[in-house]
Amino acid sequence: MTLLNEVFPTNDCSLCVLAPKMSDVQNNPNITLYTYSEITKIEGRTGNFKITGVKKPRYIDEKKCKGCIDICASVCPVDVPNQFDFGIGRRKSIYIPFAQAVPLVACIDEHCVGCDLCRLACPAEAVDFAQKPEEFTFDVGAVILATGYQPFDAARKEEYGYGRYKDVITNLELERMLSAAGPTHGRVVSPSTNADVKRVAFILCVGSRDEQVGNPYCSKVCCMASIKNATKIAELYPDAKVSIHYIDIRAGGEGYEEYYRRAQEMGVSFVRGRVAEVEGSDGRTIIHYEDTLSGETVHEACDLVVLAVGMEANKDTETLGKMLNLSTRPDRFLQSAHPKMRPVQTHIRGVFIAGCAGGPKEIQVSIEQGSAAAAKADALLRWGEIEVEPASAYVLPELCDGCRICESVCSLGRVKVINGKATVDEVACRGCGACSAACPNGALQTRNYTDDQIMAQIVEATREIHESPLVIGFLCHWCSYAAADLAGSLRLQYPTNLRNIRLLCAGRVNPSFVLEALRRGADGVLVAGCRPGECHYTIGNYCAMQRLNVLSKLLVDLGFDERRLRVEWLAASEGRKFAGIVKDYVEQLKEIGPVGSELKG
Amino acid sequence: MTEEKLEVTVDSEVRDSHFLYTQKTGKSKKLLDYDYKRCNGCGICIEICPKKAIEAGPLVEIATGMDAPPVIIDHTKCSFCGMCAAFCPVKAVRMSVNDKDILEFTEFPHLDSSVIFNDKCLPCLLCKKACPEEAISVEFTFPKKETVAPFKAGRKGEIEVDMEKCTLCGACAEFCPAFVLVERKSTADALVPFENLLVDREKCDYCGICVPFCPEDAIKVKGDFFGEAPELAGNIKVDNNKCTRCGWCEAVCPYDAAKVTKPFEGDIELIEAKLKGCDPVGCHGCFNVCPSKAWIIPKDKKIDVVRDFCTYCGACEKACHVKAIGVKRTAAKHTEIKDTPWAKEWKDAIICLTTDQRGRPDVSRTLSVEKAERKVEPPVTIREVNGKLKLVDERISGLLPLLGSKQVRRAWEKKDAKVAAQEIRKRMMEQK
Repeated sequence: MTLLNEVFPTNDCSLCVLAPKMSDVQNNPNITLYTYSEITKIEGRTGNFKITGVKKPRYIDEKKCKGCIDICASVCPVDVPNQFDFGIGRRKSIYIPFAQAVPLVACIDEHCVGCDLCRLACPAEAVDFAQKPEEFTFDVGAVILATGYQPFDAARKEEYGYGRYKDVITNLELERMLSAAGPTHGRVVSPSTNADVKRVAFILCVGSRDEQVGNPYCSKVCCMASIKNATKIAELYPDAKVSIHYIDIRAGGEGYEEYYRRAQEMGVSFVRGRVAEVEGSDGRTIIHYEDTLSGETVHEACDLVVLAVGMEANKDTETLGKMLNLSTRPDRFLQSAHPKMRPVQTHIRGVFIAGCAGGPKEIQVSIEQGSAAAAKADALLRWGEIEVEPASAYVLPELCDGCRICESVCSLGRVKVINGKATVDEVACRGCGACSAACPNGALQTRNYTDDQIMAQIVEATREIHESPLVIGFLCHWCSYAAADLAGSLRLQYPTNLRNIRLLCAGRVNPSFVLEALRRGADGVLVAGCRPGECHYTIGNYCAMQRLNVLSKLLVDLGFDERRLRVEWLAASEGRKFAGIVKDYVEQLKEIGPVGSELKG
Repeated sequence: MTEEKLEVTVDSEVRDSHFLYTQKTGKSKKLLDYDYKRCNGCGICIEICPKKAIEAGPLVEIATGMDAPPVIIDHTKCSFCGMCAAFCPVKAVRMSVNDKDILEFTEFPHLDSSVIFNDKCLPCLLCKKACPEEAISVEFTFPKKETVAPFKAGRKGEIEVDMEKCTLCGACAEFCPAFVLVERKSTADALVPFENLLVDREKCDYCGICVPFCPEDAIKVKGDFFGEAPELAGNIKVDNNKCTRCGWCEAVCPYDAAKVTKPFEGDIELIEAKLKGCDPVGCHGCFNVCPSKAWIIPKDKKIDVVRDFCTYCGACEKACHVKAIGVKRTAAKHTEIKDTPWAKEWKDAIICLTTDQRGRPDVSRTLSVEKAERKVEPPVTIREVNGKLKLVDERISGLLPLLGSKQVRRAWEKKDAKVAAQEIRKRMMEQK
């Protein structure tokens, strides 16, 4: 946020809002701030996480540095593009990112050549070339991931010529131009001439709502941010012509629509249609587009083309997510426990997400989420003890012979063989049952989903067969069972031949369940779990996939039709697909005939 | 901030063939010393300089005789980091920090190469005389013939040198004036710096000391022997500032006494197709710049290079006007890169030695724009105080102090307006 000049819809200076908060964080005795650091390992579980990280060397003694930056930086001979200005400004190899940075301490980057001048120049003798990376560890009860996003790399949209044509910049670079403390002192110029702009075009949805680059989602803020910057330019240069090229303007938020109106009234022109190409010719930058409202094809020279780049999931967030066993959505952002009901929680208890780590959102919503996550973490930790849902796996030690299969199945590390017996971390385990389904001795059971309980359901479902074909379905609670539910509430029609057995995860399906169902006369068995990568237990559906692949091959070996076992991966929202699958499967089974009819001899 | 900024001054001076650049602060002094006569224009410094402060001169012309510096250092851009000095294969660029050579600092890596003489060294004169850089000095510690057995005139005898056995090491000539070495100029394909060993029989008294003295048993003497032969001994030294690690000493030594470790590994090739325009005798560019003097004109070929001696500096490639030479470095030996803030930048420089890819911070997209001019407001005109304004001031100044009175304020706020105004007016009168 500090990178932004002003923020919509109130047009207040973002740094003025944020700087006091940053120093509050630094000065709060209950907050330890680790800057220039990287988390390398997270172990443990809710209430008791152990975090390990590395603090990179700044080569500056933080206690001695007074933050008077220009003394050391003025003698530094190395010019580096300033990442704080997205490369349109310059800094030195020794630098403070910006004047209000917390902590206000200089840092030497990797471009240092070792000339020694900063050390000589520093009046506080704070430069220390001998600093080494320092490892640190600390224990926490809950983790909140608020690691933000990364802007889409505009060079990937080759047709817009970012990186090739100087006058094509991103919206974030424009923010730095608009900032009075930025490289242009608040002037908006055409980079090729350094002259104030006269004709500016904004291209929206660059890297958002775009299947070509793999980002089908809307980044939510680019419309408003572009409108804000367009009005800023219109205010600064009343004679400049400013246009915004959009697919749809999304201005849903408090005061947003009015903001959009005001921009129109100020003379910012809104042109509907995607810009086809930006072309550089004879030193001019030309945009080609079709105005879909008038049907005209237009070729227009601009002295500044601003690409409203979308948000992408941060690479570092992915690394942290893996350490915590969090799942990610198909759009690569972190998945919340429920998009509507539990937006800041994750599937891992004690881990919360806030802001753009969980998908694009504007500042207001990020603040709401941050507050919510803090409150949820506080509620979790305040009592000093937690209630655990009785869903974990547990061990019947007398049956366990310490074969370690469970340990290898649970890559989350919740089952460990200690002293020759499997031991379950019952607080951390959330009961997917993948270990139980793999145990050769039945020594690992899952509470409320024991082998006996599930078998009893199979027996009941096949006791009297009134319908043919009969399908036994093992449905995952989180996706396919919910999808079946949705199919019902949508009043979708599908055959009644299916008997559902609800499990917490497809990973709970022991091959013996499938075999027992077939043995008792089921004509087909449907196992349905979450789509790959979307398992609520991270590993369950992959375990199921592996296990059922093997089983279906064995069934074929035994002479069964391979279609007796059907495996599907679904999302909770796919009620229609679920109904379709059942219909299709029943048709198929009718064709094959009752179970056993394919067997010879 | 009241603290003073560090004043950094940079000066340049030309002294003989040396360009001397100094960077001084109140606390430090750096000297960059570029000896353009020593420089062979290999261009390594140009490639690795993090500031792009070094540019190439007209290398082809310089190689063929033009008297000009092969590279030009822009000392206003220079950061005085010393990379050029640390990686110059011929030590044409030197840098010192507070009078200590950069090569002596362990915090900075530099090219690692060496010439080491082991105890098989006699020593003799072969490498010393062959060395194209005159970097080897030999000090013989044995007493001369005059001291051991002063010349006795008129003695008879026979002396003969078995040239099959003789290595032309020259030790005998150093010992006794009766031996005369016929010198010649070493070339890469004929390294031995002597053509022949002759015996001046006028000066020989057939004392026979040379027989045991000769390390190869190559001298045969008949006569009446006298005196005792000293042991062939001495010290050999290499001036590392001159030595270019060409490897001639190792190749010429018949005793395997020299071991040369070159700074680079690589390949050098002659591009046949381009050799058409090559005039090795007339141009001689590659001959002139080669620090190893590795170029030869063989009988069966137009031109060739003795690959064993090439140090892969690449100067010939740049000197060749027909671009017939290709030099590729595959490895560069260097001292340890210590864990420092500048480690990455120096590592990049070393990587560049073999890849020619030098990563530098790309500041091409940065903008430099003047501040917009402030709109100037019309100046404030100060009106003269006329009689009227004075009156205004008088009246108001009567009321102002009353605003601080509690009673006045109470009345102001709570009482009927008429009453309040009256009350206040009264007080004003009282004040007067």
